[in-house]
Amino acid sequence: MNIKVAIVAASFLTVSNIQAAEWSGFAALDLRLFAEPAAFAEQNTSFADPSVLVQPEFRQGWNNGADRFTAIPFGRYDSLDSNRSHWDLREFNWLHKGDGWNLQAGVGRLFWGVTESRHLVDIVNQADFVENINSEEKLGQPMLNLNIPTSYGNFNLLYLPYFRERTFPAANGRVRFELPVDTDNPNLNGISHFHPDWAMRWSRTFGDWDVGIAHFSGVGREPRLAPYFPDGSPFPTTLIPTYDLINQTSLDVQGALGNWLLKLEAMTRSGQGNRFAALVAGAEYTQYGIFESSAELGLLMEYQYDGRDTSTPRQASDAPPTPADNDVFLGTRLSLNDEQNTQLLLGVTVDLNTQATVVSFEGSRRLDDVWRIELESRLFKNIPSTDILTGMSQDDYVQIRLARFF
Amino acid sequence: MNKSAYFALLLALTAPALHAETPEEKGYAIAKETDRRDSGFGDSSNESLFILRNAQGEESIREFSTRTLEVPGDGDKELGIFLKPADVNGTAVLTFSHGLKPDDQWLFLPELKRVKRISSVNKSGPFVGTEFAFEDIASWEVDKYKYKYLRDEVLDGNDCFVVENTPAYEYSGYARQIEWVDKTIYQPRKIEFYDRKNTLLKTLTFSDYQQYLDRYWRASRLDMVNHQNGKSTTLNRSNYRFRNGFQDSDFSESALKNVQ
Repeated sequence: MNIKVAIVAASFLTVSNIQAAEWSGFAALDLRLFAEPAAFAEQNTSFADPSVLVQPEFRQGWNNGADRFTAIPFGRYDSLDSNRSHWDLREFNWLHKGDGWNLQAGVGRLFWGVTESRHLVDIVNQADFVENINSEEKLGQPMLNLNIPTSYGNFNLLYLPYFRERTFPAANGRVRFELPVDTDNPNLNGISHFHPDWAMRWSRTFGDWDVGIAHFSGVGREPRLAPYFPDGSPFPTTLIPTYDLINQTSLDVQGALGNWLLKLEAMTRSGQGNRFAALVAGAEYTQYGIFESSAELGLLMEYQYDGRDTSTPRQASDAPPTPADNDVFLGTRLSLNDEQNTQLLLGVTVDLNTQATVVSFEGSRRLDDVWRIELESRLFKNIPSTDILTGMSQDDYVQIRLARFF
Repeated sequence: MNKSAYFALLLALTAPALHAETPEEKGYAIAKETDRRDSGFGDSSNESLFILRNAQGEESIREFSTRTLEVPGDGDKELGIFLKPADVNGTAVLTFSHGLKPDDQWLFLPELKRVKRISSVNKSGPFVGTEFAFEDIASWEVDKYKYKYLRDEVLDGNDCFVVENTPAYEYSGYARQIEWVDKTIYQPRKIEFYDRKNTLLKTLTFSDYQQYLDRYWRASRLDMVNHQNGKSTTLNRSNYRFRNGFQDSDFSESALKNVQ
């Protein structure tokens, strides 16, 4: 018996072909500069918010690449916001590629969706909201992630055994809501963090069109924010993040027709107030080789609709507030296609009901083989007191990032 | 088969014997022979190192690994993965080439784990800042060009056909190309690219040809010189492996998401 095991183990080792471990990742220095003084007394009064972040990546493959272990920790130290100083395991998983299927087990990240201005159908990973309000930075999610590519499309089945709460800025941080979110006292409505969530997605390409249909069942990643009134006080002091069991079904479609990319994300959700639907629909037009150069210029337009109940006064059971209920996003993307990979994206989102306006800018340029400089800015204009973003009205910022890649 | 079609076929079969073929027919026949000799490779993988040089002679590098799957009756499927520079490590491009029909192309961005569709219109744009355009590195298919044989010529001791290729696909940045096809191995030795104004834009030379599986020829070194901006790019291709047993599922959305 033992001999048999030894033979099996020996033969496994000889065929397993362990490849060299691979280290990569980046470290960066962020400098956020605010244009106005802080709006709230608890907030740090500094106009400059320097912070450092690091994200090393480790990969080890074996079995001729059929198996791979990945570890990607992330950490940030922020000088202003005590919640923004945090660390996370973005990835810590084992990927096995089988014959016609692959399975990822452990902590992972994935992205669903096609639109630029809002990520409506991207529901598996929790947003690392303290990192960026654009929901593009996300926490690692424990998962079993099975993919089966077939001639009828790709079938993606996910078992999500542990729920992670959203991160929010601390009371002393900037770019936060009018009331700080009390992340130490979440309300999970009695749901265990170990609630077995699941999701599935089918996606397929039909000629110029990519289509995805997905369903998620479990603890909704987007919390309601319930005002907390201490000891019968008429004035709330904090917001309690309140999580619910939801079911969300979504559709995402993208078509590539000549210079046009057509995009649609739509979803319907139950479990937070009345069932509601939301969508983002739009297009991107790209002109290549502008002004007889190698540069390309893209024009983006997207419409955001969200049918969740917005009547006032709000009920505790209402769906989480969203600024994207009836908004238009217009943007322009410039890629120089040069050696430095210079890219700029300028976007403006305007609420058609209130004219609340958020301007965002992202730019990046490679300095040499290992250094890159990035610029990010967000401006909050004309935000009415009824808008969830009203607390950020005085938080217009410009951020410079200097990143070193390994 | 009706009578006129029968005679047309008969004429086509006997035509070479009856009269000299036109320059267009000869150019097309050379392309067909190139295609015939290169078909049946199944799949391949290799590594690419681009060395970019600007007009001042400063260099930077791009490193890329490529897997190709031959698709009978259609263009190849290709998955390219960036290794360097470090800020794009793990970025991947999946391309389904077609003949005259626009290619399907997707980009995977590892920072966001996001797959983005790329417009197939962008043929003439530079590939990652090199002097190679997307259309220069795309999989070659016979139907993509109209051909015209020009002359025979000896180039660096190699007997060549000189053929004019005119892109038949939309959105090309070229009015035409002049290609030197080696008569022995039926592979290009040199291509001159003329821009839309029909001015010489770039010259590509192929060197260090190696034969694989006793049949398939691949150039290990490609040099692209841009005559208009003074920049150049050298592409070194190494580590060619054929018949890796790749399947369609290795060129799928989930394969693109799991390249790293």
